[in-house]
Amino acid sequence: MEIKVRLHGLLRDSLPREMKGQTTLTLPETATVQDVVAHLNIKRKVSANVNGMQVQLSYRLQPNDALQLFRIVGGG
Amino acid sequence: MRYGYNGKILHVNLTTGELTVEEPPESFYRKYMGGSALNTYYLLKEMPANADPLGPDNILALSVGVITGAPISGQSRMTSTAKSPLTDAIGDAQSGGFFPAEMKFAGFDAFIIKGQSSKPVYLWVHDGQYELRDASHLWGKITGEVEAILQEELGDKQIEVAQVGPASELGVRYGAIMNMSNRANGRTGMGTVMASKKLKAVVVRGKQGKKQFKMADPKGLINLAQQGVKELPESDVASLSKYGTPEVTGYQQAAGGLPSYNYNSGVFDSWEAIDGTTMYDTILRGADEDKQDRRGRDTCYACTIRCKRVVEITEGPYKVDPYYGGPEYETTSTFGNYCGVSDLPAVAYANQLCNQYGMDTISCGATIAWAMECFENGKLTLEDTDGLEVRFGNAEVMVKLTEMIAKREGFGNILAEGSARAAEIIGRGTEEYLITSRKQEAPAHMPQLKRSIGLIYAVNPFGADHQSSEHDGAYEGDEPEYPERLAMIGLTEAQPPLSLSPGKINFALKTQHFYSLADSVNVCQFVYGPAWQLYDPEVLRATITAVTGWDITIDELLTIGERRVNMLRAFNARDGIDREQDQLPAKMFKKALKNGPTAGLKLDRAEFEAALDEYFRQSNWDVETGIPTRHKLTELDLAWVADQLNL
Ligand code: SF4
Repeated sequence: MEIKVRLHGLLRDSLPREMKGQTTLTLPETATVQDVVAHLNIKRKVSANVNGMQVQLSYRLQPNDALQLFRIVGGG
Repeated sequence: MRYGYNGKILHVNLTTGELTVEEPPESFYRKYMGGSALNTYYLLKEMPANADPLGPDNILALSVGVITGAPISGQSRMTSTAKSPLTDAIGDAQSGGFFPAEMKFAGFDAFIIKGQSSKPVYLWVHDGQYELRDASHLWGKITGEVEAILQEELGDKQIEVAQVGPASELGVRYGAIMNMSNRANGRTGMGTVMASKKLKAVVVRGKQGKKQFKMADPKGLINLAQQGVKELPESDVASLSKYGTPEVTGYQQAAGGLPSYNYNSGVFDSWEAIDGTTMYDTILRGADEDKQDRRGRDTCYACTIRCKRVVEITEGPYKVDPYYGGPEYETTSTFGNYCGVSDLPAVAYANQLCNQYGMDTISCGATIAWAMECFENGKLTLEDTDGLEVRFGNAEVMVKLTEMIAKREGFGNILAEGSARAAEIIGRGTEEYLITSRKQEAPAHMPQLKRSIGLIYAVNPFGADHQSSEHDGAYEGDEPEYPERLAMIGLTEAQPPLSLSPGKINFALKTQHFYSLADSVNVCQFVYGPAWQLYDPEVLRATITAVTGWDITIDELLTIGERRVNMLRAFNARDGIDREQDQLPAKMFKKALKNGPTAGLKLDRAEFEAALDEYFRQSNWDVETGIPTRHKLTELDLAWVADQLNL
């Protein structure tokens, strides 16, 4: 299945710079958010959002889901 | 041998023009360190109770700390403290930049400013010399013009200037003290106090001081500094470094904690238009040639993080001069999501106006957002607003009102009083929309989501502040991210999300003491902290030891933080302020948040009151009044404060 992924803040530097954090991944039907995190080799603690709603990393992705990943940050 | 600090405090009496130098003993510095604790010591000792914040009795204290000027990240901070004309309680604000280190090199640890001058003056301090000089020609001028004139007049481009802008001169209640024309001691109207004394600027220069800066263990200090440089890329502040504080916008949105439409919602649909990466891609200086890392970021003295934004906009209605820096997250929030505005150049322009005229961006933006909600609900009409459609999302009006506030023109003259006083003037139920505690507007971290931050907003002696304790996320969930760091200050039992349990309150209190210490030793809270910061509490201890030679423990440091909180609280108690004023905005209890992950959330009155009880119990204060007890004050070596309170 195809999943649209958007990486925010420093996470977007996990992809080549010109992609500005946006990519589409082809994943097995059983893929979870955690699998995407591992696939992109993201080591930092992240918060995930699918189609605008916050989800756990164990969330099973559905075809054409739009996944956004944010790094968890405090302060500011 | 004295290391790190000058051992000299300059007392300035603006009524008489008298300048005197005090040389306190080492024990004084070890007990108060500098910054806010040192400032509050002088306020308590030398200021009468119930002083008029804008009268000659108010004292404005400006301090650096014992390690300011050491060549390591995060040490160049200056704290200003005085009674606040916005909150009518103690006021306190910090800023970074190059002014603090230069102040240390100029030969002093603090300026204690009393009285009121009959004409505008500025204080010129260089290489241990000091004098008051006429500032009539500077009065009424914006910050950039003043810096340029002073550089010319004093024949030195390396001077550092902390000044008030025209907004403070006109008595806008949230006037800031600006240094470098882009760093603000923003909150609680410290600039307004400075201007009421007719003190336009404090100018410092230490040509010799940098070379003469002595540390007990220079090698040890350099090692700690290099450790930070090495660890930065993999650390949790790497993103702050690259994208600045506005990077936090995305996470706040994802969690439903991005205060939008005057705090009615925790999500803002257009958040991406104003976040840190968009700023980086579009308006940071150098973005057009992909050189923003070099040209679009600025720093504070000796800091490797370089988180400050430098914006340049040369076209369109909102031109921004890089000289005035760029907006922080708090500023993109108050002028952006609070107001429902998604026009980033407009937000950056409003930030520039605040830096030119010297105003706190949080109170300014949040006051405008409050007016927008009043207008949307028909409590304000075009007659009140000089014909302006003060509606959410109207960037043009947001910018226009910022300017009108700075100049106290028309409707801006009322908003210059801050939203709480404006609501008193206007009436008609407009107080229903306030998001103020102690008459000061809340920053952009939501008590509905961050419960312990909310508690600290209420009890903090100088009003709602997001940099006075650690944020809840660090101590929530099954696998907290920073267990070792939190354990260093005695926090080992993370709590469930959204809780306000005794364990969470203990987290609020202990981290409040740590942050309070940070504002006294005067370090940047992005660099030193108990969670995601570059350096942990142990490195702060090691840094202080390397600079001063003091064999100090983390416990002793936390006691300094606790001492300061108690002194601030005692200052308010002298003026009759107690638990009754420890409030959060009524709106947060009455109205549930709309949309997003936090839809439906509101605060619970009984839970909040119980949390206050528990916080006072854990502080060893009187639970009924929230006033420190003699027992606690004596334990903190503050019996003299207990005497003042007749305890
Ligand atoms: S982290 Fe940012 S604000 Fe703090 S000292 Fe460094 S540059 Fe200044």
